[in-house]
Amino acid sequence: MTPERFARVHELFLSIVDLPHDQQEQALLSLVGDDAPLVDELRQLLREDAEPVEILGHDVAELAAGLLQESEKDRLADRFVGPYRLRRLVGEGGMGVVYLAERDDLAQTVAVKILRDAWLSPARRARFLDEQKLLAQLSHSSIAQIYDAGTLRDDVLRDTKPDDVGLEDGVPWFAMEYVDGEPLTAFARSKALPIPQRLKLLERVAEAIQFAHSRAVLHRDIKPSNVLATADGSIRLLDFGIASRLELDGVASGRTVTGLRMYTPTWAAPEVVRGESVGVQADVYSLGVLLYELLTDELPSVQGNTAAVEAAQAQPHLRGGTAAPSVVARRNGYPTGKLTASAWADLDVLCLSAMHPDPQRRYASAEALLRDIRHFLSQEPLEARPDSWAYRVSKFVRRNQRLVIAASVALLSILIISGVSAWRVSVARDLAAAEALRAQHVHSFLTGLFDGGDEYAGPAKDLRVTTLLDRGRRDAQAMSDDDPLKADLFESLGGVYQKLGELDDAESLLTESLAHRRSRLGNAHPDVARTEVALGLLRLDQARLEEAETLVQGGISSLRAQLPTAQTALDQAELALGFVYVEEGEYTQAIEMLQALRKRLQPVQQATQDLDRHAALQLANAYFYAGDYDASRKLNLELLDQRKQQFGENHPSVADLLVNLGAIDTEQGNFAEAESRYRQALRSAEVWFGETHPRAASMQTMLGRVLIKAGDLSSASIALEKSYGVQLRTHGENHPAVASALNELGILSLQRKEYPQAESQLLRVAQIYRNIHPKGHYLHGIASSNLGSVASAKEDLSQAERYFRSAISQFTGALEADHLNTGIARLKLGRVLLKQRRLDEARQEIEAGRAIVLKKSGQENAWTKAADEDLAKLNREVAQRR
Amino acid sequence: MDTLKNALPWEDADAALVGTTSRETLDYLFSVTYEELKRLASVVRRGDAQATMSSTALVNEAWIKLARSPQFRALSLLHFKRIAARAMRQLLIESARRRTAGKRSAESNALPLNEAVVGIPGLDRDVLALDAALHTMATLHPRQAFIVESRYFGGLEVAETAALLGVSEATVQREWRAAKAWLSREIRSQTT
Repeated sequence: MTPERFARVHELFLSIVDLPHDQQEQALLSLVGDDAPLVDELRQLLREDAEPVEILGHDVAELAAGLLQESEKDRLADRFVGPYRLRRLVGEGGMGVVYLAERDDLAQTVAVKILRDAWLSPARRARFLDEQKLLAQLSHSSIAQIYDAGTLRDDVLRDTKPDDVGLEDGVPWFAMEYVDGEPLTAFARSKALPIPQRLKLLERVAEAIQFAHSRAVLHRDIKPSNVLATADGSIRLLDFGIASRLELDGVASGRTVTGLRMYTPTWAAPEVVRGESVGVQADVYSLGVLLYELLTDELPSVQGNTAAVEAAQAQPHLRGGTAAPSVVARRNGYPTGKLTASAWADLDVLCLSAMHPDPQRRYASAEALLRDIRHFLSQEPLEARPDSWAYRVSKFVRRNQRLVIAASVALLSILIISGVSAWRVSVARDLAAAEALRAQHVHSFLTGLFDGGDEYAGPAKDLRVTTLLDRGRRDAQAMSDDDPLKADLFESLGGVYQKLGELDDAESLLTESLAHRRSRLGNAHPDVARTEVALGLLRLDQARLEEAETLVQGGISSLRAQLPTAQTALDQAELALGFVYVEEGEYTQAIEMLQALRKRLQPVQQATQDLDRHAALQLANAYFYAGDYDASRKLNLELLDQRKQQFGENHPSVADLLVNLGAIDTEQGNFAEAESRYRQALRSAEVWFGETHPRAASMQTMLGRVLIKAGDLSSASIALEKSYGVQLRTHGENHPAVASALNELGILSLQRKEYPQAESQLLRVAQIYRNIHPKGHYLHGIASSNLGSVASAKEDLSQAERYFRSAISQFTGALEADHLNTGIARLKLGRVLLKQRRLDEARQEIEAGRAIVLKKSGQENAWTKAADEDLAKLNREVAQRR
Repeated sequence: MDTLKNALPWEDADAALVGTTSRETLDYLFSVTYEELKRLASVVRRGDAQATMSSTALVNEAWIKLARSPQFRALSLLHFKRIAARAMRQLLIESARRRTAGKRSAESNALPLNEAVVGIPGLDRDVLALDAALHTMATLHPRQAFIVESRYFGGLEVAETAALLGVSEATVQREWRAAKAWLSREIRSQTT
């Protein structure tokens, strides 16, 4: 059979098949009567057309259902998975099957869970095993211990029947502590436990979750079947983060969109269901739902209307208006026991705060929830208590009002400065600061300040920092202009808004505060200067650099004139100026200023400790940008040790330092180390802030950069696309973080030889830098240099030359003539000139570039080698010409 | 990065659809789609024995999940369906192969989880025969093979297939009919 014959046969078939049945045979004979085999064939085809074979009539999805059936659960008894011999099936769930298993050599009985739905490619297998190792280290009395893990290929399914085909390759499994218990909610119901006991159980669950979070592990799938209670009342948590780690989010959330029915996702937080960022708050949400069930023996649902429940089946919590536990309990006649009305009110707050649809309005951590559970059990007031008038007027606040106010203002001022220094390029939702803000005395300050007997409207559970702030702001605005506290309050509130990322609010508050202070105090007052500096830092965040410098310099000169009383404020202002210089690219000045500042702060005391640390951090950054990598590394390592000791391994500030070290490693070509640092840092950031937080996104960008350099383009692409998307959404087009991510994407496109795409991406980068830095800045040089590389790769040599020359002059103007970047740009220019056969010019550039690179890196490297090769080529050319 | 290598050769047309000449990219897209379809198919059947699954729903559901990820963003739904068709084919073939291999051991009395499906006798054998026939067809008339793969395995409509190929719907209809007849004959001759 040839294609031609095939085509002919089909042509003939089609011309006959539509004829009425009785005419077909005749037409057939008249068309091809002489070719007997052909006649036969056509007859067959016509018959098949009339009655095709059965399989062609089925929808392939039916086939899928039929073909993908497995019944291996029976086959698996007595099989080996790793060193474990499977005994019997003990459970089957949405994701896989659980067997009781034994390990003969250690006489151990375990549970082995095989995740049938999760076939893993080799890359994901490695990742799965890494993560299981991490989980195995999670050792807590309330967490089911993981012992072992693998995939059913690495551990060949051993069996007495050698030609049996086992489960598919790449199916993940893990062995864990066998827990003989029932789901928490069922346990509570069957034992008819009273509420305090139920809360004690949940307390243990929350403890375990808190423990896991402190080890940077999210659970992400908390639900009764994963929280078992044993007969003696102890708790075991199962299946930590399995769903997420294998990206089976469709399974965990059970989302149904197209009518494929999966089970309902009642325990998954709304942002998880929507597929957005998932941080510690997702687990808090699930704990809230668990609590709801424990309190009411029901699942939360849309109030009233069962038809609405059906309609909103997948996401009842998104509709809001979930019935409060007390309401449900009352409706059902208090099956879980009667408590006082105020106790129920507290339980409502507890539960609904944990379950709030907006993750920012929930308890910020499992620990916060835990604290309030404990408060409740000890009959103390909750921290998340609604601010009814009676509650606000606590004796403590009354007696100590002045003290509390003063302390809080100081606290908030420090938070402003240290908050800004902890992040420079993104909107911050710094958990630590938010927690501090909710700490009792600040809370009291804000409420106590407005202790005027007004009734505050608003639902009882609607109490988060932002709400407090909005109220505080309204009240502050209503304060009399003579009141000195008014400006203080504006400034403090402005700083707090800034930290929470609401820059517009921060701006209006700070400018109001500044205007207010100027009019009351005149220009030469330290408070005015402080506000100027604060406003300058805001401008920095908004990437309005000239204004930032002007404001901060203004503040500084004003403060200098008021020494010695304004010393602390002056120190803070100089630190702020250090930030500004670094952003502007004035690294020498930044280094000078920060070194001087640190020197002045010696010996470092309790009060100035924070300031010194921030100065050190900024100095390390300045060294880095200036190209002094050794100095930067040294300082960063010092700070890393300090921070680790102070905050523990997984704190975001530790992550920041890891990122810095990773950047240094990248610049020096140690890609493997860099990648490992970044991944570590990224892990912490994702746990604390969620994956779509700009802070995590910045780290993704840097990770992407090192992956490109290491040649792993696909992983780089994933990381960079992710971060670019987040940065763009958060900041809009004209922001350094966006440009950074886009720049890396451009480099990636270049590596993949997608030149038009690379060019358009890098042109956009150049445009963004022009918008942010109208004056010369070294980033312009970077953009030009990269565009030059694209042009060079496209063999458009004159364009490449133009770009590289631009880059060189931009670097020289913004940095120094013998900066590493300048050297590299000259080498690139040299190569282009060489290609154009402009030998003398080429030699000049290559030799000059090489000398610079050698001087700055201190040793021969890939660049100098490439330069040598180019020079050798050049010499050959010259020799040929003679 | 390791990917499940697509066992069948990609057409130039496929590459053009996806907008890249990188086989690596096509393989990656294929691999991810393959895993997702597999996961969905098995989750659905385990979750609800009565669930009626159509390939359209399966592919759409997979798309909803995958469209969010960076590599797929450049892809249109139509082009995704094309890749999904190929992935679905491979999924089924591998499954059929494994089951025919597995039948040498003692579990042919497996209780089917989906009652509605019980009673397509010789399913595995037929699917494998179809696959073999398609292979042959691809050497004789690539466009018809493309049509069959898209429509049968991917659940694409006539209009969608026509759009992918840049031909008229009438052409697609005709060729589909001819292809079916030919395949039917091939399968019958292989399995009787």
